[in-house]
Amino acid sequence: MSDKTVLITGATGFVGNRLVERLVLGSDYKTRAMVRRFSGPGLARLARLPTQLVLGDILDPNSLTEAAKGCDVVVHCAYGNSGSGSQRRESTVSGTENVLKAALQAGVRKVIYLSSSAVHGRDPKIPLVDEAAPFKNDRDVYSESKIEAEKLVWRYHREHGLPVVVFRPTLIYGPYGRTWTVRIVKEIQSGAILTNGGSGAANLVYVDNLVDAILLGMEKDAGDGEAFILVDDEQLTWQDVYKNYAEMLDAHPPLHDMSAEEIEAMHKAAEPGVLKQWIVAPLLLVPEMMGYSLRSPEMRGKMRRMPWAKFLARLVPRNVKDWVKGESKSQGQARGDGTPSSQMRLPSPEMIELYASQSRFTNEKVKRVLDYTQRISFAEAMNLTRSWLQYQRLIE
Amino acid sequence: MIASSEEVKLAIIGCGAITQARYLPAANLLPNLTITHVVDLDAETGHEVANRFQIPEFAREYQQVFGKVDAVVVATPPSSHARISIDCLNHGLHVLCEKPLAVSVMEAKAMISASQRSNRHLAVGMNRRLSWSSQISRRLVQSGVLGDIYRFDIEEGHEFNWPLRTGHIFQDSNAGGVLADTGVHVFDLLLWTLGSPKAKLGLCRTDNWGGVEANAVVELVVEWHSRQTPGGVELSFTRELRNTMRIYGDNGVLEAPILGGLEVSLYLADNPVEPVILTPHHVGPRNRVEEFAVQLSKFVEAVLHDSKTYVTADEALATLSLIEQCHYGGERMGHAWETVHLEPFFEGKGNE
Repeated sequence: MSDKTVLITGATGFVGNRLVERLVLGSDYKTRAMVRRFSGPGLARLARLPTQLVLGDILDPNSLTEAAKGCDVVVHCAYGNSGSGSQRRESTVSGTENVLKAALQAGVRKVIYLSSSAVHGRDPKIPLVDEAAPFKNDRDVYSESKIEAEKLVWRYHREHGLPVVVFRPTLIYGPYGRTWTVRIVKEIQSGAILTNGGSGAANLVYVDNLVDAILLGMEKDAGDGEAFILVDDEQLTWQDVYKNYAEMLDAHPPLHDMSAEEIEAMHKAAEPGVLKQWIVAPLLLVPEMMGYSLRSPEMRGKMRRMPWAKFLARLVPRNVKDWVKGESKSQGQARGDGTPSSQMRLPSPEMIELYASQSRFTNEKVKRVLDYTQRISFAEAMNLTRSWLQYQRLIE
Repeated sequence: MIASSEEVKLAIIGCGAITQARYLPAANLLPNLTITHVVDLDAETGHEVANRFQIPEFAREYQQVFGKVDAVVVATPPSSHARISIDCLNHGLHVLCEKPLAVSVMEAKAMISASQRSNRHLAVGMNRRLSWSSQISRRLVQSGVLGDIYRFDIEEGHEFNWPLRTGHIFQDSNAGGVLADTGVHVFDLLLWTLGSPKAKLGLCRTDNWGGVEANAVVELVVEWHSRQTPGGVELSFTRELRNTMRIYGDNGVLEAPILGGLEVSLYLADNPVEPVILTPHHVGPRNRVEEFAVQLSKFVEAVLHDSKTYVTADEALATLSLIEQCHYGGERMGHAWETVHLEPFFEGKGNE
């Protein structure tokens, strides 16, 4: 292995950028990074490396053909992450087909495709999810288009003999991770809600562990024509994850526990409509009323805006109201981390489904076939992530 | 071509983002300036820009404007600044060159020589000096309000989003990276605010792994009234930093927005917690385009009346020298999350 060139699409992204770093700094491969434009912090990060930058777009077949020329491997990380739903779908699906065509034409040794565990659904509803689990369409652009794109990869493998390796990483976190790192930290800073107390299965994978597997997939023939789920060994719950992030912060509002049903009830109560506000919402919110003192100011505010709640509130004696307020305050103080912020947001229905899922993904196949071992533990990964968050000035 | 007493005919060489977003809109604000030509190697872009801004002529080669204009703005990628500027000066044109003036001190010196030989003005685009906050900061520091200056501390960092047409900032190891792009402004503002042409590099650490740096931490010493004043500069293309300049004096601390703005804070020694906030009575340039208009008007004044209120190439030399020292003597930042497990990964892992 030397002097072979790897084309990376999506090279300014979270995984692509780290992959280029690891290839440049820890292997003999030469890298060719395809970028859509000469701007953005992702490009600034990438350009620190002695990598070949080529301007191109996965929706422009000519630029792909040019970029793939002379390459040994193509690692396809790009997907549609901006624009309208149809634009995102086109980037993910047509873009993937363009990459496959260019790879075939260039006669590359193999294509590594970065799929997603989302092809099995946010909540696969089976205890242990392996690569044989069926595709489950969540009826959103991301999962639908990732399923469609992966099917294309398999079609090109079957019909054109294109050697492919497919990775289905679970939720990727670590330095430069937006959704499962920066978003969680910001959520905790403004008051996070733990669905079902955070008891759901958190199927996370640290970015470097995923890159290790991609490097093995590039190097070893045993993985050709196979799909691999990538998830870290630790069987974490969301409570583990949120508490670890929360410990990085000096002060933050308390983590709030709510059941999935309560959050859904709050969503429904917030929807407009006379029927909902006067008849459905009160019924849904009975359990909420029972736990009124535990709710955040934002949620109490929402409840108070309900016409029936205003009516009820007038009937409640002042001493009871004071008691409720006092109870709420002491709750915040007991946790010693201030009062909940008014910026707290309810998890979306999609996130509730994901956070409530008890399904665990398994990395048994990647270990067996590619001789993969997880090198960075959750504890080490969180230390590295904390250092990055501090450097990024997102935490102190 | 000799400038008429009332109007300067100007060509803009290079039709990238700075020309489209700054110079051409700014030129519209000046009565005694006519842009007669835009020049670009890419004919499609050049024609489009000429049409959009109603510029009479487009030229593919800058030599085509010789004899037709009084002066040029050189707004091409930095690696061509010296070559084009020297050629234009030698053909009798006055030059306003976008920052960075050149990619090395040696190039900059050759440009200065050409300007002297041809007796033509060579101005440098340093618009940051023209903002209200920069102007008032310099006045306050120079007036002695802060007392003796003993330290400075500047941070400028954003997620890079300037719509570059060419990738020079990310591909040219001499003229690219955060030092050449942002550092050139920051070092210039620092030296100009302190009124010192002399600075010495202490230490420079960057995250450059063989390309161009996105982050840099620089420690330097600036000579201020014969005293060696130490301080630090932190720059980033990937992170939101504080984005202010702090000047520490015996009587208090001045804090000004590094990108320019309409508010400057003065933390006086008797109450360092509550700053005195200074805001303008008369607003000068209110935005970037107006700053560029002022910059162009100073250049036009130079062409018409031989004045020298613009930023000179000599002033740019000190800044370029600092950046050159950073490039040659920079150390690498080591971040654990980057360097973890970088040992050759494939040892013992590949196919047998």
